[in-house]
Amino acid sequence: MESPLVSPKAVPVYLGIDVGSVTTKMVVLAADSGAVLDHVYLRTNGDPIRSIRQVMARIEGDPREFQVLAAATTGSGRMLAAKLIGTDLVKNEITTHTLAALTIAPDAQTIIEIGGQDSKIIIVRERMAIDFNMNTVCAAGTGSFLDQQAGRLGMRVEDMGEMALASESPASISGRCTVFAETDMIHKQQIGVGRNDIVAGLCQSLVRNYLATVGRGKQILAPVVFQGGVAANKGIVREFEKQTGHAIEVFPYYGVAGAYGAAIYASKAPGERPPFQGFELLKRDFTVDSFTCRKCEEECTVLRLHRDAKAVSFWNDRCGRYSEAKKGNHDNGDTAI
Amino acid sequence: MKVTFPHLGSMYIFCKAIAEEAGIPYVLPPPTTDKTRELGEFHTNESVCLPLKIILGNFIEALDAGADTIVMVGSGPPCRLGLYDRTIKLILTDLGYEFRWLTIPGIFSWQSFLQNHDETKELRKELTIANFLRFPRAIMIGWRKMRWCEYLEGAAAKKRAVAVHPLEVERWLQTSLAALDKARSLLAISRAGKQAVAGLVDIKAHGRKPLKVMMVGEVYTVMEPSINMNIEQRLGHQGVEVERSSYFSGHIRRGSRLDRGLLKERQELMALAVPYLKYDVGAECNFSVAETVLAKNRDYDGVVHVYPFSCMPETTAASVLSTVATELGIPVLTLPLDRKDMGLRIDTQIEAFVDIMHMKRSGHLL
Amino acid sequence: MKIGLPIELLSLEWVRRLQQDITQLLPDVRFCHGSGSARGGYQDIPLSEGDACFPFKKMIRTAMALLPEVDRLLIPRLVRLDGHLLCPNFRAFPDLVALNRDRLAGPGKETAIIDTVVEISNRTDEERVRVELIQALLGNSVPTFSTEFPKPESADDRAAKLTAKLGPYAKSIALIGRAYMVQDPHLNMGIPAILNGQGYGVITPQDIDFPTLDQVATRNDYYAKTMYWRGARECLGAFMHLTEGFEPAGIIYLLSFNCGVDALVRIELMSLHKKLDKKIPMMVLVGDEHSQREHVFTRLEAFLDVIDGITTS
Repeated sequence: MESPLVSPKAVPVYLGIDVGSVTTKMVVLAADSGAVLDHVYLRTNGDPIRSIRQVMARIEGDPREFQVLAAATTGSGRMLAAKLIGTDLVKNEITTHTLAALTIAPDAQTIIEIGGQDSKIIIVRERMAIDFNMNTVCAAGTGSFLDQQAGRLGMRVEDMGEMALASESPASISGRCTVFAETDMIHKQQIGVGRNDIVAGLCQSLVRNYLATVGRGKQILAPVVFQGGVAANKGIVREFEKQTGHAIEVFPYYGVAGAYGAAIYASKAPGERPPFQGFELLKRDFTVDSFTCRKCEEECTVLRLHRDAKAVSFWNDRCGRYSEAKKGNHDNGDTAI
Repeated sequence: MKVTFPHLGSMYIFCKAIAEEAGIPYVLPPPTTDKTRELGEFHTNESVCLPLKIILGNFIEALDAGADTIVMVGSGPPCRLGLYDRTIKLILTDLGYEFRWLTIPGIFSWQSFLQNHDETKELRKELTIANFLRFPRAIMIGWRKMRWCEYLEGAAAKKRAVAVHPLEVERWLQTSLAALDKARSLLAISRAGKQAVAGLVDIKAHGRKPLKVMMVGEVYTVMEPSINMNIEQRLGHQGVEVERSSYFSGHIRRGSRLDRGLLKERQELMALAVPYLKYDVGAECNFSVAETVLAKNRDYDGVVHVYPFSCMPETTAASVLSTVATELGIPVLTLPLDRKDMGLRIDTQIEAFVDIMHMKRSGHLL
Repeated sequence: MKIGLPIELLSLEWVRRLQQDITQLLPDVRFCHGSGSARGGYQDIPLSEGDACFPFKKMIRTAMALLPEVDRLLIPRLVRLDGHLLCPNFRAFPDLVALNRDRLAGPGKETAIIDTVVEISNRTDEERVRVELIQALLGNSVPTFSTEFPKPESADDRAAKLTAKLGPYAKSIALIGRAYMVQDPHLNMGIPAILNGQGYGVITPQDIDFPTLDQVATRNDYYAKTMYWRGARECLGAFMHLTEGFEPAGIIYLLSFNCGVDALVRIELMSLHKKLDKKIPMMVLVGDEHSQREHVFTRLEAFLDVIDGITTS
């Protein structure tokens, strides 16, 4: 482990990485001012190691010579990311979204987030999160679905908003699940309903579903902050305003809110942080694989990180026989079967 | 005769003890796994509650392993648990299994007594005088083991939340339950229990005050870890002490109607839900709401509400709690459960829930 | 006085008799039932509807929509009818509406809800409940009851009605399901009309007197394992009764997604169906909030093709 020479021009920063199932996001915050110095939003494409490497390459290659004081990870891939960049600061995405929202809009009472694969609502009172909900059973309409439909209709996601706003009579689209919603949209197209109305109907259906499932029972008060890639869609914003009766504030870094919150979390972590090792990812060979441990009926899928072909870290085992093994224990999982 | 019974947390130790002490051969159903659930799902449909699917799976696996007599706890309307035996019997018979069935009445009534009499007619022929004479002692041993198991599980829940290495508590619990299971006399049981308690003291605690949470919801889901995704453990490893609202022994004592004190306690509890539900909706619905109010009165940090997806009474309770919790000012995490592949989702929600409880305690965001 | 009584409850026969009774005794009363098509926008229903079955969600939405329009909202707490329990959702119905009402931002907060407990196993119960209910409605001034509580239709009258209904059709299909599923146009997905349009008569469990169905369903009961829900007994009894005497050309079982009662009844009906001596085609249709008419029509068409194929060969 090398200790990089810190030049006097180095800019101390905090780093937040949000590894989602669809997209990987990163935010770099200046340590002194808290300003966002860089942010990135790229597709995970099923290969989180590659996307995290891309993020690291970008930070290392930045001419401003970032010196990472502390880094935190969030999102469904937060454990893997933490292992890869060598940090112990891991935070669930609900809390990081809250941190992000309250840093920029401290009086927010409601946070709405619609991401690639899931949606959340967070209720805030007196500057603290008091309640939240995440969709657990399938509900039609998250970011992926909008992307997919944009592709199918031959338009860009960015343009969907304008098209929806241009409609005066949104078509009625099924809300059971994405398959049925698509079937409905195709049917409406076939019978001649205009694209603006279809897109507007889609936005209406997504928001209605969100409020009926994720949001139901929660008291939505203003100010309402809207995060997630979907916040770029003006049609969705308009629907939320119509259906809740409140003005909706689109979070300035709506696409990377989780990463932003993670960076804030990193900045508040107490005590001396160990030196940042994330750039090791670019110098050495890292791979992750998994094996099924059959030592008991749990049959955990244990994840294993290799650095330069040597197993260095394990996680996801329920009993801890791998992740909590003392140093020198040679059980690296190959004899597990 | 080879009896078997469903998995319900550590209740199997109770059933096994009775069978052992009374000299009745038994077959323990294999531990509940994904395969068990899949078996249950395959032979029912999507709106059937998870406990039914898992119990059905347990019985199929037990019958495949050689059991021929099924012992099941009965219950009553209006929830579906009371019809489990009728439905499961039908499915198993249609699948071609041959078996005998014995329902332990959950609520004493003439009907259930007559049914019991009828069911045991055949079975009694296979038992000897010796079996019968050993029953009272067997029940006492089983009961004592169960009470110790419940005590140790409660102690584990407390220690887990403050242990420096929570996994030590899991290992301790496994060993202690196994020791209790092996014990064959009241003396041995007592010794095993006391030894376990002494062992628990040795596990290092970090001294920080844990968060305290009450787990409420449908009976089976609260008691069976393979259904509730080991939520007690997951919460415990995040520094949360979980108090369960349902214990098997409590249900038996209530059903027998012998413990007046317990019945009175129950009535008083129901009264807490009256501002929201004026009538007993059935099963644990009113109690889930009442226990949330109780948790608030006792100044707990939060409530976890677990129930099987499609459970009618609990869906109503969840509906009530969706706003009542915020009004009362106690965080409630609602978890409808159906599949096992939700591990990461649950962890994320638990983490956020723990963060919220910390925020509330400390008065600020981080 | 304007009294709200959610339209979904009217599908239950006892509730219709109750309305008849009240109309006779209190001529000043006007009933309002709502349209039954309430969409339940976010701001209309404060509590989470959760995963409740669609009929229940719909009932609550209808009740909420009625609140601002009526003087009193009548939601009898239907615990037991004809000696058998109703699904537990009916017990919670008045309380959930009350909880929603108290949290409304808009009008309707002041409307009282009459939630008299209804547990009926015999005629005496009917007379008693009727007194309690009317007292609750009028606020304790006891009226004189000059007539008795309307009796249910006799078995013979019902049979005659059924014969008349099926008269124009050569063949009939048994549409088995809960009363509200089968009668409410927002829940039955237009099935009765489609079947009639295709030349088939429709016979439902509600066309047969309940004591007969109850009796038949008893055959599958033993000791404490009575199928305790009235709706379930209705469906089971109808299936057994119709497949023995009547022999419909086909059977359609119409149920709600996430209905706990139907989940178990479905298992029993599938089992009974497998054991029938004469094979009658059966189709299970699961409806919910998102059901689309086009999908249902396609399935029905295919089902009728199967039936036609068999009966004309």
